[in-house]
Amino acid sequence: MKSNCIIAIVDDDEAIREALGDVLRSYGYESRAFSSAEDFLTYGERSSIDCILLDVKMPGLSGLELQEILRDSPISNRIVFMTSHQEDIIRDTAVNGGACAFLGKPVDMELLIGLLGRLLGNR
Amino acid sequence: MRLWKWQAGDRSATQEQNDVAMALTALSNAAAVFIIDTFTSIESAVAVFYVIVMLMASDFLTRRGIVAGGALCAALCVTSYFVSHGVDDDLATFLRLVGSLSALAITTALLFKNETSRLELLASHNQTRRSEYRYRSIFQQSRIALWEQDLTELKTLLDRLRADGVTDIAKYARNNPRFPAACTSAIRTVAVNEATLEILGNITHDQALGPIGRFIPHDCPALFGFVKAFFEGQRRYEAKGRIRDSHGNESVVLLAVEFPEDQTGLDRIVVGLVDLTQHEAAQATMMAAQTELARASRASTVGALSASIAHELNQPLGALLMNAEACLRWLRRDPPDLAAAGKAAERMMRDGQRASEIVKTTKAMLARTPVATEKIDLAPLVEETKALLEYELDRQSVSLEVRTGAKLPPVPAAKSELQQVLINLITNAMQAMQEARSPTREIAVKLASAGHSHVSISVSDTGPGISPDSLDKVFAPYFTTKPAGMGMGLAICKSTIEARGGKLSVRNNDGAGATFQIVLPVGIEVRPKRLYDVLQAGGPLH
Repeated sequence: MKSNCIIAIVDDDEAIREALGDVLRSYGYESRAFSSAEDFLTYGERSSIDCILLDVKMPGLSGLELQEILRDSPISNRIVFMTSHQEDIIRDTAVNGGACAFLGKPVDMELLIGLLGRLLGNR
Repeated sequence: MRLWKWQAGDRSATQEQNDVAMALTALSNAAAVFIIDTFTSIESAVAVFYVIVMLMASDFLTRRGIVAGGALCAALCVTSYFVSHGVDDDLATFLRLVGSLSALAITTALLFKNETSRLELLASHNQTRRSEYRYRSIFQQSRIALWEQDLTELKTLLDRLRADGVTDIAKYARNNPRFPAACTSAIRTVAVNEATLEILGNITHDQALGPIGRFIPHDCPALFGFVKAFFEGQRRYEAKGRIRDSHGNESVVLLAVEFPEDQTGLDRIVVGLVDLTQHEAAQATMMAAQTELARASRASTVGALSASIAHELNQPLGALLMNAEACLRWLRRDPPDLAAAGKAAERMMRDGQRASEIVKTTKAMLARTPVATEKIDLAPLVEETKALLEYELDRQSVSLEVRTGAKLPPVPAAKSELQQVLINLITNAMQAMQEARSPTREIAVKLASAGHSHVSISVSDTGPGISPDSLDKVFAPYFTTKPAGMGMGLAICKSTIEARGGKLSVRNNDGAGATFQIVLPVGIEVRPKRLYDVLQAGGPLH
């Protein structure tokens, strides 16, 4: 393991969760997968999470709504959005809410790994 | 019972005086004849002179009056006979009486008949006058523009041509560019109604008269059609033409005329015109709206479908790419983690499978949409399409020539589909010439057979043509040279034609412009394939 950082993957698509988790593992990151925003919120060890890879459109709470709920927690500026709906208004809301990145799907892994390195590498 | 022929007001004062003088003369003549016949012993038929009285009296007596006059003269005649000769006179005198009475009777009968004919003639004349009045009032009040043309000069002109051996007037017109001008100066307007004056730009009646050359452009197709119909002895002619008003504005009119059967009355042939300009403009607007709607709904269907398929496919493809990356990374480790790589590869297969399922579902959905097939005659379809685009062609000063060769067999296709393809190709040609500001703007739509089992429709323009590096890309989806183009028009045209078992191709002309060629099979029923099948030709599912 590169570090003891834990990355949360919040996405309703199982294939994405599995693939992303495995790629991150190959880069030495530990991850936890959540199939919905509600799942994430009920996770007991939330404080151990260092960064969230968050889908925008999900059944139940959306990615943007989760960001709003987490607004006052320290993790609010370590949210990376991933979406195939790249509308300007969604991106602006996410970025104004303090998201550190807004990536289109399919996710450019080189970009994501570089981002995670800057975000978590110095821990 | 009326005996006097004239009623008050029928005759002028002088005529009345004459009538009275004539009546008095007749009466005094009768009296003179009676006195001479009765009181002299002339050995001749004096009574025959009553005939003169009757001839004079017929001028002012009705038919009843003539009968009464005849009877009166006969009575006088008989009275004289008995007064002067008594009952037992000789045979000669009696025969003179009979002769006189016969002459009187015949004269009276003839006068009676004459008066009857005169009355009949008068009635028929009145009827003609009423009929002429009715015609005039229809002519004047009609909202349809009516012209009375004098065609005698035109007939002389055409008779001279016929005498010179001209039988094919179309050929003659092609070889004689001055022929239309000769026709427009040979056809003269002799009367027009109010509606015509309006069409001609509110001029006065006299300004509208004379040769029609001022109002009919020489290249008006209806002019030649009119002359040809007249030359060939057709009874009726109806066509769409153009007229130019006194301000130089042209309008589209429907022209109709009926020629007389026996070539009489050629000095007053009535031609009716209906102004179609507004109707044409409305039709063009409607057509443009329909085309736009079809384009928009097609674009939005394609757009919505593409967006939904794109989104659906994005998830498994994204996962697949990440798994591939993970797989490679496990393999490139030292030592390689084969177990992890294997799991990643398995997930890749699963993702690939999922993407493939989405494609299959989409195909099945598209294949369910039925496609109707009908037998289509290409020549009328092309003419109809031309008519639909006429306004736009006119507006952009593009001439469209349709060349139909020998009669072609019908093709199995959907009319609306084929028409959309033609509209698309013709509109593209117009736009290309417009954008390039081409000096000559001509489109030719040519129908021909291509081998035994195919027909071809080609659309050529005189625009800039297609740049060599674009030539093989024009049919590719999303390829466009237009600023706001979606690049789907030609792609859809191509797949539409291919779904019918045909081909759509393009080449640059030797001269200016490009030619798009549609080749369609005839006779063979092609089970129509959907758009998607064609784009994915050779796929696993049909």
